[in-house]
Amino acid sequence: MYTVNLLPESYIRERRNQRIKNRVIYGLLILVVLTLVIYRFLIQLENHQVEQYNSILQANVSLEKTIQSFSDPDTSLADVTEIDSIIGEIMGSQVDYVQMMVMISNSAPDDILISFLSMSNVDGNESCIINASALNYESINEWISALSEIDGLGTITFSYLASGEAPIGGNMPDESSQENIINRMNFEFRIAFD
Amino acid sequence: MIRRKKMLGIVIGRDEVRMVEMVLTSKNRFYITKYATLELGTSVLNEGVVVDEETFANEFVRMYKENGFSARTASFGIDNQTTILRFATFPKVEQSKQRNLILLNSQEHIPTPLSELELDYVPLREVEEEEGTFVNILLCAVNKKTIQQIIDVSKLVPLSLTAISPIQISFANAMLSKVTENSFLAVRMGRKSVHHIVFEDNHIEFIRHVNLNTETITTISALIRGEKVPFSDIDSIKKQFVNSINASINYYNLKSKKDINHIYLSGVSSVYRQISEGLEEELQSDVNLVRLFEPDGKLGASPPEEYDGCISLVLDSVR
Repeated sequence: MYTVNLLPESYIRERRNQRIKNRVIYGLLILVVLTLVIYRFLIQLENHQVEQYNSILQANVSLEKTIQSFSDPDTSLADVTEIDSIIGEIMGSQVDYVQMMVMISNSAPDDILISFLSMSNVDGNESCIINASALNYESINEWISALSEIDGLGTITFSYLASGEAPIGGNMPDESSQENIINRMNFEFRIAFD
Repeated sequence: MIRRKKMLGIVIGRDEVRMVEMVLTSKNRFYITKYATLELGTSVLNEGVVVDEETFANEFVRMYKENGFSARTASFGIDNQTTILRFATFPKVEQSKQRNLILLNSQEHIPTPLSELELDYVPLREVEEEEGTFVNILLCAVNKKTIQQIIDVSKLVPLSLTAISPIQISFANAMLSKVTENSFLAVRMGRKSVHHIVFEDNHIEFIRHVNLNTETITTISALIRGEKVPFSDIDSIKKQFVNSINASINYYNLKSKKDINHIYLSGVSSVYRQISEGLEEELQSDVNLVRLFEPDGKLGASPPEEYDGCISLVLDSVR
């Protein structure tokens, strides 16, 4: 293909320079627009994050209020600590209180009514107090004999309380036996553990 | 591959200006959005020379605006006898030095002082001689004042110019892209002038620009408008046409000792339809009619062949 161009060199140069200038101007314009878009995006992002932060802050305040509205946890904690210490003591003891209680209860003759049974450990002295009632002395003797055969039980101290009184607590006799209540003897055993 | 581009092709004729606005969709695909001709008369533009600069500028701007042209890039073509075309031969030197050698030694081939001209050239073919290798060159020059007038009038629109070139170069390019023959005579008939270009092995060997007289221009314009023209007037056009072609063929034959066997005609087809009968016998050659461009009529306008020069200028500037 033949090419001829009679445009003066100065015009061609000027046109080329103008084209470069235009490209630079367009480039700068695009850059400015891009910067504005990025700036706007960052502002939006910041606003979003500030909103998120405020929302979290509000949730935090609300949670704090909720926690404060609950009762003081120190009291419950003290109770729990005490219970925990008692359990610890029981666990540390050589006497199996549960088994011992079962064995004592099972050794009682049929006419014996247990109204109170307590096991305690005061300053390392482990003992058991039993309040009960019986129809006659034979039953009490029988029970003492049975108790003395249980391993781990030491001295048994007998105390006579009164007769003809209804037992405090324990199993209530049925209606047919109501007449026997007035004839019952109340007594107390203090048993030491070996 | 080029991006979608809108461009103007503007041809400054003897006393008229033609303008075509094209949208280029790819390298060879385009459609025409607008076209117009501005008849200025010899008091404003006489044989391509601007006589009344102010009126020329005002009319040019008015033509652009009133016809709704909107492209801001243009390629100008000069289709009149203000263009100086000369064949010359220069010794072949290194590519980097060739241009300076040609431009510095062109004065002996051009009758006007080079300081008054804008000059460019087309390298044609290399010739081996006993003294070494030579390059045939087609020198193209136009008065600096004419070029400046075109630049000034373009600034008023404003338009950015990609090129100003002689219209013969664009016709030559268009013909070479259409014709498969290697050696032929291309005849281009316009409303007011005719171009003859001889190609040998696809290289330009000869160029001639023939101005048509007033009577012939009137008859051709009437034929283009579809008016009835007396047979004697058509016969007169045909005789002028055949005589001028034979004169070119004889001159070329005398100079190069070579015959021309193929003639390709382009331009105003309404005239060719009237004068084609018996043309091959009278020219003693194989004669063919070529339509240089067929714009996409579905997408845009389909202007007559007289706007081929404008189209060719735009296509050359993007290739």
